[in-house]
Amino acid sequence: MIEIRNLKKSFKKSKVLDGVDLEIQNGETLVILGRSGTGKSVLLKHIIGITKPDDGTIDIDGNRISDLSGPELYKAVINMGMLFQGAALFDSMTVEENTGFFLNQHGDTATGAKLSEQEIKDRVFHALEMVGLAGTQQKMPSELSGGMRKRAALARLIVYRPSIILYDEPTTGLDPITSMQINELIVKTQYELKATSIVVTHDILSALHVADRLALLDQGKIVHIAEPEAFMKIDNPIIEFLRKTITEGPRKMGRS
Amino acid sequence: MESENEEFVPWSAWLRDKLKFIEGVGEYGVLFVNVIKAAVKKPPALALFLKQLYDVGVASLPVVSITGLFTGLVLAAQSFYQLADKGLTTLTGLLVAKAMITELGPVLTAFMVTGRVGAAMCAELGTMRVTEQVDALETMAVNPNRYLLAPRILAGTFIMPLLTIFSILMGILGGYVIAVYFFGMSPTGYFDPMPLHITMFDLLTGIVKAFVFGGIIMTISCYKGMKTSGGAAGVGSATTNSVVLSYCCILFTNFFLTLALNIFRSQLQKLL
Repeated sequence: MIEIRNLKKSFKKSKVLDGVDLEIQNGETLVILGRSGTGKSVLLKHIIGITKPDDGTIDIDGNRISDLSGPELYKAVINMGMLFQGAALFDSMTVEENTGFFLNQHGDTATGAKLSEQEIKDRVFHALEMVGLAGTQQKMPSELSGGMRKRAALARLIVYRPSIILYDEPTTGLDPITSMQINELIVKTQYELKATSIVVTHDILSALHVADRLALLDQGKIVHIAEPEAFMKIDNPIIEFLRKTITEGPRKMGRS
Repeated sequence: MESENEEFVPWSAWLRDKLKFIEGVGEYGVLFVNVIKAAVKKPPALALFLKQLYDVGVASLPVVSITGLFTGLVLAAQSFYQLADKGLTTLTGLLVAKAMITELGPVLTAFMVTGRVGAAMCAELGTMRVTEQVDALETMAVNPNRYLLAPRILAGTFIMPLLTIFSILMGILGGYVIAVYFFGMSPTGYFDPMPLHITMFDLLTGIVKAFVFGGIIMTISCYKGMKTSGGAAGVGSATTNSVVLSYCCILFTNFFLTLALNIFRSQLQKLL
């Protein structure tokens, strides 16, 4: 279980997170909605330990991740993975090297065994097949389209079967069809790995597609959290707007 | 409101700048210590180290040779003309060699490596930082200090003396070409004074400087790269800053090293 208590973070003089309280159960998919610039990505970076809070705590299965640094932090996050907004593929490496990077560095984390080159190759192939990118092994990230990059980054994650996966705006900037593919992949990954997933997005369609629970982040706080149906009925101007975008369809949405 | 008030106090901005600089120096020191710690605890993979040795060392050979060669050429030509009317042309070879070994070799090599390697390194790391590739490394439980910085800093620092020696040799060769084939000095006339007057101390000066400059270039480029923020423009300004800062630090350090090493030598001679 992930427990976030009173998390606060400011950058220079702007308060980004102002007392976030959140509990995420093992195996659930929580979607955090919020407008751009409300600190959703910052929250994810706190959960995986690469950003440190000004105040507050984060515990993952009783392990206080917000206090860890150096080797202890790396040990704690080895079972976690994050899909970055811009995919963050290593652009000096091929898709295959990117996907196999974790296995090359750490071996099989479940057994602690080192993996042979062939084993890594096989696992990489399966991961790429799962995201529909088999055959792109020797391509460089710069040769891929935006959607393909996101999928390659997802393959880089699922190849090491993390138990907690954080998705930072997985569908932002993608066309609706690719977005749907990514949503399917998130659901599929969740189903196959039984992972705890936290998805940060402002794409309500994507959110409803993958979420067990939805949370709304506004003004640095989690203001509402509920299961999708209950969430959409909450009386709140932002949720009201989200409701409209679904019922009125994209054409009006673009003009309102 | 607070920030508005601060704008009106001129020394406050000045003070903040100074504090920022001191903070930067501190961060730089901390990063340096962390890289050393990470590298000592578990050395970086040999393959990464070798790749950097190649990138910094072998790939810099052409530009370093050209720098050395032309410096030697011009140094010999200029000294020959300057010394001709004083009847001191026999010193041409010695002058070229001494200047190359103690000053021009290390400094010019460091400049070329800053431009060729340091800038590229800073831009690469900066791009990795702003596109979240550094964060991605960390989320995959890989220490960027060990994976990215340690191989670069180690390889760069240890390859610099070799590059410098190479550039010095090219400089002496360049001087030889001019002195012998253009001014008609005899080869022995060019080389003979060297073994007599070039001491172990001169050689040591060159090597120590190269080593220190290597460390300066690599650590500054890495620090500036890792500190980059603000997209493509940020990468650009980080790279410029790292190059300018490297140049300045090389010049400063060169001056103080020259003084320190010579004072050290004279003290040592008094003792012996």
